[in-house]
Amino acid sequence: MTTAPPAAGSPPLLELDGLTVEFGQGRRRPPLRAVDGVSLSVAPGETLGLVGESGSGKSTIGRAVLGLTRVHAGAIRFEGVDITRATPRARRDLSARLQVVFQDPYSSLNPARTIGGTLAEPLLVHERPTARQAAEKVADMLERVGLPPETADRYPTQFSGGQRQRIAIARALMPGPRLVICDEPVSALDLSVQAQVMNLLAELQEAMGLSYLFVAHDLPVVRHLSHRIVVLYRGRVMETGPAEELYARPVHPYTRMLIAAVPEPDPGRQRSRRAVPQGGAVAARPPLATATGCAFAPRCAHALDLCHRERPLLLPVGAPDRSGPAARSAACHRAADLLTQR
Amino acid sequence: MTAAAEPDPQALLSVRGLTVEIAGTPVVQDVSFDIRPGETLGVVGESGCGKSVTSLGILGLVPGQGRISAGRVLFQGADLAASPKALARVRGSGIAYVSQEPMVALDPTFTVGRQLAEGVARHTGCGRRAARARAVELLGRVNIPDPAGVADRHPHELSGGMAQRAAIALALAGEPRLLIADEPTTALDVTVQAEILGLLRTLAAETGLAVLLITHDWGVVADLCDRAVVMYAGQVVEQADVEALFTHPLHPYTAGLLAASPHAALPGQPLPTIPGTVPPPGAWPDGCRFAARCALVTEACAVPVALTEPAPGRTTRCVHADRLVQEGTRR
Repeated sequence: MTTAPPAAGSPPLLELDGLTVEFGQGRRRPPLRAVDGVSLSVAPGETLGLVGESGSGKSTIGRAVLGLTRVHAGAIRFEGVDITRATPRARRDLSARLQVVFQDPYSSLNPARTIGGTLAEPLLVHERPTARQAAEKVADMLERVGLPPETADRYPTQFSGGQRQRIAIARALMPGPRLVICDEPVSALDLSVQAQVMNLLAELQEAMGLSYLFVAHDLPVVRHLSHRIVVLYRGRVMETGPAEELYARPVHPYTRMLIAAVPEPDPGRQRSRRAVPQGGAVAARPPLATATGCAFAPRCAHALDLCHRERPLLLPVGAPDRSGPAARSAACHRAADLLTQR
Repeated sequence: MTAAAEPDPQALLSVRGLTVEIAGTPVVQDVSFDIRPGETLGVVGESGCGKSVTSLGILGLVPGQGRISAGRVLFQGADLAASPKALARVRGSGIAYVSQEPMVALDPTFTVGRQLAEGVARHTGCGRRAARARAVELLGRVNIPDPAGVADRHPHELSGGMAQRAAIALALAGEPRLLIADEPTTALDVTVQAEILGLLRTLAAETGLAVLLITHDWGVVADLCDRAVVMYAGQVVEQADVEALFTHPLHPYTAGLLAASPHAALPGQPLPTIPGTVPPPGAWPDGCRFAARCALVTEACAVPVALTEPAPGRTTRCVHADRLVQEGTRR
């Protein structure tokens, strides 16, 4: 739910500069570059949505920020401090301000521990409260996420998926973080519960001034919760921009393809959308992104020779308008043509 | 079309009063619907509403200690629920099944082509060479580029979308008249989903294949289905043509579930939600099962609610149906 976007010009809370993550694939094959030179920033109070298909590197970026994946090159700055290779001790301090909610609320909660115990643990690390203080804080937080106080004495198996995700959110918020990495937090939930949890995330952001790095594959979900969106393909940023604008007027052929592929829950409109032929079908096995050329070129209906030869830079598109300079950018050689040609 | 109504003579499959119990607890109760040849029927609802158990019940594949305790499953005149023989005849060649997880349908130790050829040979009794040729043809039929090359690969060498296509090809090996697809695109990327939905649409249009599509995604229903059945807590709560269902839902659960979809969300506004969750089997109330979450609830909702037909070709299980009919369209 995009409420007032955060003030432009405030120093970013999180900044990635040319982040590159590689995974080894054995001795015979070159390492897989899961994240390839990604730069982005998250302002205080802002939600930045990361979208892309599987293999786009969106979850890996979140994991790199959390220190769960080794960074090959580039820098991660949080509150202006470089945390790319933070020591375990620094990470522990950081965990008070940088938290995470994972997709699967079934595997992310310790089944042998009461909810109260799980929620109090981050406090024991950071604030060392008395048992009474901890219990009070747990009760407050449970109320905040819409769960009754008795929840504290129960175990995870006694809760549904939606309730568990509320618990996971409560745990993330216990130490009072500034940034929460949300890795597909509503993907495992049913529609009616998904809407409840999405509203909860928006309310909590408003009330506590949180920033979210929101990783998800479901475009309508990301659009609704994000202020800005970064579209990733094979570890590279294809396009970024304010959520509504990017969704309404996508520039990059990949963004267009993604949006066109999401079926609309309206039979009449969906029929007319389907009538428009979509270029860029998936190749049998899209060749791996080469060092040269645009990663999306093999699937792109608009690709020129240039696109296969030269890697496009992420450049501002359109006139620098009211939303400030470089509000939107795209990594596409044909961005200027495509902007006019709808 | 109420539960008591006679099966539609033109229907390929008629389910009447299907009730499935697992370990003595009913999980699906009194479900009735028809599918005609070439028609795509969506079954929509949240988890725990009985969508998948209904589809497995049709095929006699209810998991664990489950059994069909009442009802008929009429396919081309034979009652599959009463006759294991009829069911064995129909499985694969009359009705085929595709699940959410294609890797479960494919054997990891054999090549895709070999598995397909086995299915073809089993159903048609043809020779090895002819079966292999037909297998490659089937892979081409589901839009796999280089079908002969893919036939020689093992399932782990395929991407998710490719594997789902191979699973659909396997389902088509017996030339079924009805395909039951349980969340066939849920695990796939949206671009791949669009291709699989396109494939199912083409198959239905070109071969008269009927599809029973189980999904929780309204976009998929709008894209592919002719009619939809909405299930809640083991019951059918609404049934209608998709156009009518989307523009003018006649059950508060349908309306609430449609509104909760983030597609229609207004920027800066909270999403409309349905409070609470689906009650689990065994905890179903005597009256309307949706009453505890419903904004329209009155005292009249405390007694069991029957399906009514407030408009031709539509059914709903709501005592306030008349009011919903008058209130006009959504949005």
